[in-house]
Amino acid sequence: MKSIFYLGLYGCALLTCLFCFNRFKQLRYKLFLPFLSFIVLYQIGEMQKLFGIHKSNLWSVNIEVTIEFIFYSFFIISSSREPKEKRGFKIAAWAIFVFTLIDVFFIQGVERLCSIAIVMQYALLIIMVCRFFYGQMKVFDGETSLLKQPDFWVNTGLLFFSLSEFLFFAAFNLAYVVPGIFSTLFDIISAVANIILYSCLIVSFIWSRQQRKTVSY
Amino acid sequence: MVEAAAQDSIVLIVAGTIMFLLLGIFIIGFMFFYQRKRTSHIAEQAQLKSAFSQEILTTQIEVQEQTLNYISQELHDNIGQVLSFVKLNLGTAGAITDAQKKQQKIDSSRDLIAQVITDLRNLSKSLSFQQISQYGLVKAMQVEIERVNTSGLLKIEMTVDGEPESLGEQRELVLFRIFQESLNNALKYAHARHLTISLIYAEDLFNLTIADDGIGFSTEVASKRNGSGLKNIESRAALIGATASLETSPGAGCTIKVTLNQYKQLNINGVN
Repeated sequence: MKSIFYLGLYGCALLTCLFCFNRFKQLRYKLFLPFLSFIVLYQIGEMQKLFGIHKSNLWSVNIEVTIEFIFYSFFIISSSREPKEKRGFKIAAWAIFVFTLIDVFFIQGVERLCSIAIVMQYALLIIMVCRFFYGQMKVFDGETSLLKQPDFWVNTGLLFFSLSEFLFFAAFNLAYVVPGIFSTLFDIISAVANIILYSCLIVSFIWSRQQRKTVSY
Repeated sequence: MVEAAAQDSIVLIVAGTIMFLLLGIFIIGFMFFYQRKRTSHIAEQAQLKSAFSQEILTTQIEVQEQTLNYISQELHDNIGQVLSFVKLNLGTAGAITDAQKKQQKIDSSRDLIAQVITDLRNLSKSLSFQQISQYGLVKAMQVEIERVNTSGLLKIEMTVDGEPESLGEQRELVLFRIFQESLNNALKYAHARHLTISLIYAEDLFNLTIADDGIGFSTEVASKRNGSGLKNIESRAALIGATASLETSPGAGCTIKVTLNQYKQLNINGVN
């Protein structure tokens, strides 16, 4: 039931992206199509239990979360206009990616979730999103509504997603102590976070399409 | 015990997550609030800029009107009268048989026409707001003062302290208009004989003082009757970031002082 719900959510986002694909002006929005395709395929694989090794799929979760982090971080970086800031965030993103690999292979192990790295990934995403919002505040021109900007929706979704999952992953070691309760908590937090993120993505795709329509007329 | 600690941690995680979500809501809410405020601020700025441009345009038109009024008066009272007299002279010259008297008539007519040509040349130098920007405030005021002094209506003396420099086209236009309004008031209402004008160009300050020896007035009475001229001086001064003060009382003349901080930005909301 839960898996179907997630598949439906990811599928809606993918279909919306596909529908709006021709209207996307920017390449970084076009890259959502392969990314969301990957997410949907991963979910299907999860449902089919293809990724279980020694009764654990945490290794695949590590990969999936890391790919998400790389995609979203470079999505936000590509929207920045300041070269110094772009470079700084790129360096930070790559550093955290390298740390993720270190965490997986040397610190927590392949069969455990790289929760330390995930927490750092979310922390960087939160910082980048806040920096994006700060940049937006400086360029408010009184003409374009915030609600009509696709980037605003993507960043809002990411902000709430990262904020809601941050503490959960920070305390992930409890999953090995009280797996039953932690699993319930994960279901709730993950559901809320994903609903917010993918709803915002859908709205952002729709607004991207609207913008293109306005420009072409 | 471990489970109890774990349960406490779970409660903390839930509470912390809710707090973080509230933080996210606060951030987004703040952004909308900030955008709304900025939008209304931009609209307000645009409105004030428009009002300011309108006020400057009105001032330009008033200066132009004053110039046209003066030209029209000169043409009618002075040049028109002289040319009529020349026409009369030449008309009667034909009937004179005495050659010498005839020649005298013609010579006096020629002298009058020469005077008219001079007066017309002087009239052509009359000021418009474009000439204020071309020659500057001091020169523009000097031309106006010379015209009034020549007419004999009023004796005006002007002193300039410091090195005159440009205060900006819009500021000088408004100051010139204030000067014109004060001059008009002195001529029409004050029954003044003398007018003293002082311009002080200091390092970071400009001061214009216009003082007449007329009948003066009570500011309270003037406000009740028709104080729009005085209010105009004050609001125009505020428009360019200057302060205007008026000192007068019955029998003691009237002194108008306009002080301008040169480095202040033009205040498009009319407030310093």
